[in-house]
Amino acid sequence: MAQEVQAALSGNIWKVLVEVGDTVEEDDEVFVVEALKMEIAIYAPCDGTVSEIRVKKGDAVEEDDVLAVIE
Amino acid sequence: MALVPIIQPPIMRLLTTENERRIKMKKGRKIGAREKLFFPIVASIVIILLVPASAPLISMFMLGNLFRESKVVERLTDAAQNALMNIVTIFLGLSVGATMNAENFLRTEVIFIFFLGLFAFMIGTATGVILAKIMNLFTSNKINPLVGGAGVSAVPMAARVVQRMGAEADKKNHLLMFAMGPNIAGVIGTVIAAGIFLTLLK
Repeated sequence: MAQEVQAALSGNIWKVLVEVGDTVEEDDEVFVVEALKMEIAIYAPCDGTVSEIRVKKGDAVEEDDVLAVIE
Repeated sequence: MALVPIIQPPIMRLLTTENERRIKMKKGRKIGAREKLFFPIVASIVIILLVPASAPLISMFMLGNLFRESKVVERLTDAAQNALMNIVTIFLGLSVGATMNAENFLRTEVIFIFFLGLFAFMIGTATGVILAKIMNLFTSNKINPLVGGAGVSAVPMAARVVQRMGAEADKKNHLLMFAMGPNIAGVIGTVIAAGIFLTLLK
C-alpha cells in the first residue's frame, strides 16, 4: 500500500535526503524544507521503499503537497 | 531581539505542561485571493483612521503585503523582499550606530531602558501563553499555548522559537505558521502602540 509523503508546511525544498529505490523506516528524515530561514524536517509516514520523488531542491511547496511516494 | 531565543523558552516551559506543548493544531479555513487583497487595504484604513500617527509605519507594512498578494508586481515584490530589505537593514544599522554618541549612550538610563525592554519581552511572552491557555477553556479546537508566546513583535524570531519548542515536544508538530499569526499581530499591535505614544508624547 503506497503512502504519500506530504509537506507539513509551505516552504522551499532545501534537501532531498533519499533517492528512488531507497529503503526507509517510519520517521526517517526524507526531506528538509526551508521556511522563514528555518530548516524543518519532513519524516517518512511508514516503512517501505521510495517509489517516486516529485520535487527537487529549490522547489516551492505548499502545505499538503505530495513530495514523494513510499511503497 | 537577538536575545529572544534565550529569554522566551524558560518562560514558555514554566507556564505550560508537556501535554499542552504537544497539542497539534487544526489547519484553519482556506483564505480566498480576494480576502487576501482586501486585508491590507481595509486594515490600513481602519488602523490609520484610529491612530493617524501610525500611518507611515502601518502603510509600509501593508504596502508590502499588497505587493505580494496582488501577484502582478513580481519585480517590485522581489526587490522589496530582498535587495531593498537588506539595503535598509544595512543603513538602519549604520545610522543607529553613527548617531550613538557617548554623552547619550554611556549613561545609567540606557541600562535601565535595556532592562525595561527585557522585562517587556518577558511579560509579553508570559501573557501570550496564559491567554492561549485561557482561550483553550472556551474553544473545542485547542490552541497550543506555545503559540501564544509568539505574540511579541520579534518577527519571525519568536515564531521560530515556538517551532523549535513544539518540535522538542513532538518532532512532527510544526507550529511555525500557526505562530506567525500572533507574531504578525504583535507587529501590528506594536505599530499601533508606537503611533499612540507618538501622538500622546508630541
